Amino acid sequence: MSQHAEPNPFELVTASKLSAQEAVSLWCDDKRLDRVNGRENCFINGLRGTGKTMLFRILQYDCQKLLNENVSFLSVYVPVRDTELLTTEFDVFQDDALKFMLSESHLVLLLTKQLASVLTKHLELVPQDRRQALQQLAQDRVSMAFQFSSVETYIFKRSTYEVFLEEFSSVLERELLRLFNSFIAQRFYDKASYQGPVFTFDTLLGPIADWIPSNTGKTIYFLVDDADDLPESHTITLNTWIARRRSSVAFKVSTMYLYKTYETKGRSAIQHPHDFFLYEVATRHLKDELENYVELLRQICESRLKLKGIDASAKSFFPPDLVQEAKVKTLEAKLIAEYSTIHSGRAIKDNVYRHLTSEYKKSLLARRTSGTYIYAGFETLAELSSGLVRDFIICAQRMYDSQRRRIKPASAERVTAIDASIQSDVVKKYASELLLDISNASQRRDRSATPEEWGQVHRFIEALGSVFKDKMYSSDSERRVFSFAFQDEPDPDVSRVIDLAIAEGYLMKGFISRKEGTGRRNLYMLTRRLAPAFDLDVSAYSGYLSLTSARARSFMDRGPERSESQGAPQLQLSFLDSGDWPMIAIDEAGY
Amino acid sequence: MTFAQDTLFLGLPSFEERSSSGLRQFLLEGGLKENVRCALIKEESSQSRAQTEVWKDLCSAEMPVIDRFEVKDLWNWVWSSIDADHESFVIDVSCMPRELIGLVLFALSVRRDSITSVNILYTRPGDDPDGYATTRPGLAEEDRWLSKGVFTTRSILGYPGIFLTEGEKVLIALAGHEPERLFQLIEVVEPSILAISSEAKGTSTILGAGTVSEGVVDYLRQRIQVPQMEEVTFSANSIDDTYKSLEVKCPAYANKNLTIAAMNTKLAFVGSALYALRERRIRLTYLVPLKYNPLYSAGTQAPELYDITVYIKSAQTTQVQLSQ
Repeated sequence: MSQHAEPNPFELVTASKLSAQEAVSLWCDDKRLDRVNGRENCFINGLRGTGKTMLFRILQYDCQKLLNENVSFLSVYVPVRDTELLTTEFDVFQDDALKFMLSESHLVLLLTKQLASVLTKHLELVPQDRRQALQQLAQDRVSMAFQFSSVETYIFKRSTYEVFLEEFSSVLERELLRLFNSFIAQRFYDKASYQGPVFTFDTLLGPIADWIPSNTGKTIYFLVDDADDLPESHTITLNTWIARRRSSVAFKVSTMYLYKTYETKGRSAIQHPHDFFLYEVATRHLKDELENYVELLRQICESRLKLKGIDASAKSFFPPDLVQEAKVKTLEAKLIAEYSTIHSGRAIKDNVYRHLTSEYKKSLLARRTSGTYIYAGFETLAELSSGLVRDFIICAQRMYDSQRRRIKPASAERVTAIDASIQSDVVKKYASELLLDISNASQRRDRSATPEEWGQVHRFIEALGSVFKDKMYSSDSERRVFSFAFQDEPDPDVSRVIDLAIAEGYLMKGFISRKEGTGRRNLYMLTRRLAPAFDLDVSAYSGYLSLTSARARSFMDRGPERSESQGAPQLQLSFLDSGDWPMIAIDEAGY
Repeated sequence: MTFAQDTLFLGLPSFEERSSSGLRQFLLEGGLKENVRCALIKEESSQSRAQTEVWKDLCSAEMPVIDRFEVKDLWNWVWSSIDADHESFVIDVSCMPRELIGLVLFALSVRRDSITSVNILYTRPGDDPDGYATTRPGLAEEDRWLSKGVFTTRSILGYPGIFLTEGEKVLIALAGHEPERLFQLIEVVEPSILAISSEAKGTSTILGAGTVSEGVVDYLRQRIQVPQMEEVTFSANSIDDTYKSLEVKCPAYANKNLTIAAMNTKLAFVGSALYALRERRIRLTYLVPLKYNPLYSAGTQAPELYDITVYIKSAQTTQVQLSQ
């Protein structure tokens, strides 16, 4: 077999479609699992590609059985995107007076059907001597739902447990069809009243969910994936269940920052940490006391390489550019010598640290080779992916393909490392694609935003990146800037653009303490994924810029404020609002 | 083609020259002015001024302005236009957005017991040297497109399909002249099986159209990575043949979540929609474009009539309770 047919170790996989064996072999991180595991309700917020679905896959019973001898919970996976929930009928249905009653019935049927499916796959979950009781419970509850409907109730055959589960699933499926395809889907043209059975949490799902822990010793986790896509009335129904904090059931809800509402049917709202635990999968921090993203990526990377028989560490597979490193080292020595004449003690090292990459980039610019800065090395690539595992995998996949093309077809040679130039070319191209893609409205999740608004986000990010780039090429004392805060209250249009940028992961939100020592204000950080598009240094950021709402609006409306010819970075800053540029050291900025 | 006097005509004026051919034919062949129901698409109202004037001269029908981005707006117009006094309908699909055509067919299907006939009027653009912007000789490269941008991708109201959580996703794509739009739709659907083809040879409605569709399919087949890629046969110039082709193709996907994106001619779309009205497990998906090319088509041919009564009658949609 030709080496070119060798499978790429960084093949993208759909986590929800992985077999238990595949999922467990690819799984690396148990710290995230520890955070989510537990009887409390939990919202897992994170952008696309941060590993939420993989986390849900590994929480499922078949995977847990491979990982642990005793599993204390039973997960029921509910993917919102793959169900009938994403139909135009549900959008129109939001005007219907019966929406909450029907949404509850619909959601109960969906979740119960998924639970029945898990019980069918794992018959051993319910002990032999308890199966009859479960059948009786299901019969009672189904009969209760039918008692006031014009439809005759369903009587389960007195047969085996397997047959009962099949029957139960088909009843639930039939009722789902009755409810959606024959009723909700026609409510917009036929206002007939509903005469079918009504299923509620308290009459069907709740009692069965209560029965499971007391008879199997396992708490039920409902894993609602991509909950942003739930219709609003379903969202409110789910929130209402979460607010009840039932001890037998925990809801683990994944969102991509576009969860429609936290409102309940009682008009109150579920709140963190009272009703649920909030877990942000990837934040602006790549490392904290509980998690280390770069270490997680190292494990993912090495396990993928190992699965394909490649014996290499992540660091050796993605080596840095040694020539560039040597040049930077030489420059470092030169700067130390130079700064020793101006500064003393620790200040020498601090200033060299602050200016080294900037001075190196400026030296490339002076030789008109600014484009030859190389982004390479495992840690650089990990930092560039900015907490999004999928972005790292996509780039690694492209790098592997490029490297493989350099091997002659007949050769037995294998890819054991990626050239630094390939690494750099791929991440630069990826960053440019990401930047260009900002205004592509069809790829955005927030369907309420207009193409014009995405255009504003695009211009804002481009302007911001250009300002950061100017700063990198300046001779200021602090040049590694990747974040900003508002001096004043941003106007609603600016806030909207910032929110959209956060929802799509172009910006990340944090906070800083006010100088006055009274409270905090928001800090916004540009995603590192865009760093190569603006020729920025990703290794460390030291400060933030202070921006007025008016200047932000100018960014949104007009884009980068460049007066120099394209391609040549402006060495003098032109956008300052008040003649100076307030900078705050990183420690002070709450990192 | 002769129309009974009580036949209701549904159509839209647009910026395309062919948009008034169907109405003209309807009135020439016995249709009455008072039975014309039409509307103006909001964004196109300025571009289509010339054709609107032609429509106003031909009939005195009211022209409410409807927003094609708003499903409710489209549905309200459709539902209010198909009044209970009429049993015969003719729909001029030539310049109607596909989503609207889907809604009209769905609305008729839920009233099928009180309907005696439904016909489709379709007018092809002029043949060489006219035709579509994508086939017209001499047109600058930057003008060779039909629509641009994406407002949203959504299922067409009335065609939600039956989707089961555990089911594999299948997309049948009838490719037309818009590679980017179809590409984006495929990305949204994320199928594990994609059956994609251009129209069967010799069925194009105008000269050169098939070559453009073939190019689109070649381009997409190279660009898209799905686990399983298949082909699908359909006809660009026949509602019946497209319907029958799907009748042969779709049973292979029993127990799977099946979506159809019919982006070739309106006739192929009508064939697909009629099949989905019978096979309710099929979802019709539509990608709403942001704008249409004002040069979309040029010239006009003689309108053609297609009787679809038997298909509407065989729909499996839940009928409206007329007693309400």
